[in-house]
Amino acid sequence: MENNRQDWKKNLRSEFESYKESAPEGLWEALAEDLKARGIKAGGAVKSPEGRRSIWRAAWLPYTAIAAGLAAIAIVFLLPLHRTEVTLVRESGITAMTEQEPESTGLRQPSDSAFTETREGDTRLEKPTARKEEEAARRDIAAEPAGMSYDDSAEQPKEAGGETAETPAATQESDPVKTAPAQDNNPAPARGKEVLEFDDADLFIADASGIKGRRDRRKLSLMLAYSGMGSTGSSTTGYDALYGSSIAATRLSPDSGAFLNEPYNAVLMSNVHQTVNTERRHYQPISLGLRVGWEFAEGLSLVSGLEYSCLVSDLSSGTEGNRYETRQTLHYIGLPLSLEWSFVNSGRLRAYLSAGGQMSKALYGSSTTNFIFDESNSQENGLAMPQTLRITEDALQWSANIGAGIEYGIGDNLGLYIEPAASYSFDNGSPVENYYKSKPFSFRLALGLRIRLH
Amino acid sequence: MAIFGAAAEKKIVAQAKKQDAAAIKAIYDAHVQYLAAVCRRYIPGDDDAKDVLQDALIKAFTSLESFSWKGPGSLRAWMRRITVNEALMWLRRNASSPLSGERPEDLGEQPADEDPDTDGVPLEVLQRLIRGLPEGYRSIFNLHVFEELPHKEIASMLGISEGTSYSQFSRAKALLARKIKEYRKNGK
Repeated sequence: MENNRQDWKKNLRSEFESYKESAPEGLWEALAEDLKARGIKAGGAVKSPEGRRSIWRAAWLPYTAIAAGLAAIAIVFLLPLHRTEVTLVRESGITAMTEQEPESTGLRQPSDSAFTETREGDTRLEKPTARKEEEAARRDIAAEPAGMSYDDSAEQPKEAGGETAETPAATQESDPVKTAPAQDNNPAPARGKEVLEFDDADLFIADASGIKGRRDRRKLSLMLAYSGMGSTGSSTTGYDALYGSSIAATRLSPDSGAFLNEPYNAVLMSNVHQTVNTERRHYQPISLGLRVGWEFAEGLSLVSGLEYSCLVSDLSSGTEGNRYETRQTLHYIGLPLSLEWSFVNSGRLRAYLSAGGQMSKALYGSSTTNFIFDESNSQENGLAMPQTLRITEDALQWSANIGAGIEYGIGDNLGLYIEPAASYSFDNGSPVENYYKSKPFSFRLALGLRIRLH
Repeated sequence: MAIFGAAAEKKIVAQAKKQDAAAIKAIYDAHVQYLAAVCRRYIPGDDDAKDVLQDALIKAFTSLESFSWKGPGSLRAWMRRITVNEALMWLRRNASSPLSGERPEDLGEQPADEDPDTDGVPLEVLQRLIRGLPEGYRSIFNLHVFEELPHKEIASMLGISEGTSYSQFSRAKALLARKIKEYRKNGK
């Protein structure tokens, strides 16, 4: 029965293979005229000699430029944040300003002494205002030898009130103070003359047992994270499409007349009676970002910032000779937040662990589909122009990650770091396919340059 | 002009790629009648069929450089694909009714599952009867029978469901079968 059904179709097809009808009158003349006007030149559509590579390269250029610009802006504008650098040199109970300072810091009015006892057992140093006596002392500082220590007995500005930092307790602590640099766990090294440097927001707390530095530091990192660990791929039989591509729009169109995709139809007809396959490949994202860290406790930092990621996916569907190829490019901006613990901090070497998460939002996405007929790219054969559609994704992409890093200081402010990390991307329910969905759990390797603010 | 031998066709294609006017004319003469028949099977109006055929030939000759000759019949198959594509695009632009909704009432809800008996029916008559099918039926019938596309791909191509493609093909087949019977009975 089935054979009979197939037979009549086969017979009909076979009979019509030799069936011809007369050509319409005047067709050749009209055709010749048209061809002459066009020039009988093959490949008359837009040529792209490098094909996909040029699309890839062209797509990368503006974003590379933007990323470089962001980095430059960050370096130029963020580094001078600490516009007032205060260098304190402890000497005979008088602090001195070595740099310009604002006339009013909004802090509570300092006494003539720069050290003001604020709570029991602690002496809090607040940003002092310049005073003539202090300025005079500053001139003397330059001549001070190393090892100067806090000496309560030294001459001090007279103070109407009783608040001075030179309490008996503080005085008695002079010896511990003297050796404080050795006990000081502050990551910033003392500079020979026990000069402590900090920026606007720094607070220097001296407790009763000695001066222990606690530093509130910001670290600005310029990070380039490259995964480079391959991609995910799959191969299935039959035709398929990436969500958001023109092919997907064609296949999903609910209206019979909404979207008749001519090149797509041509691919289908060209592959009649042939086995067709679909191959997908999602490349691991490439990321570039800026990070800012706040060391809120010894060795512990809270790190955040901005991270740009580019996700590229490829799909090829059909046969070797006749197929369509879609390239999808997605651009995300992410807000990472992580906790970083430095467990080794020796000389130039720092090792740390980090754990946290990231929220990413799709900024822009697009897919471009090319059609290959007889193994010839449609841009070159003129049979079809590439079809480009914009992809929008509203859902946020959340991820959790843990990592370990090693940083090597190559200067006072610079450090090179390498940070392998494991990441898990949570399913956000979006139909857009990308690397995160194909491989939720992944590893990546970040290589970067960290710039520190002092 | 008779269809070329394999070697001759390959040579003519190579010359046509170099924009040899005589070679292009030779290809036109060799295949235009066949392509005209294919085109008219999709497009009922003669003037419209001429326009579609002209567009298809322009597309073929302007992209000939990308064609890779793979043996006898490959050129005709290639030009045929272009022609069918152009016909489908024209139908899309000029559709009189949605493909999915078309259903001649005289067929009834359940058309007989009967294969057309084409034995002895002249091809010109069959061509006319196929051209006379309603537009949606005709496209699906042509794509399934002559282009050998499975219903899944036809559905994807035309933006209809696979089930609709099946049912419309069944109706087309039944309608053609009935028309053939009427021809045999009445001679027209």
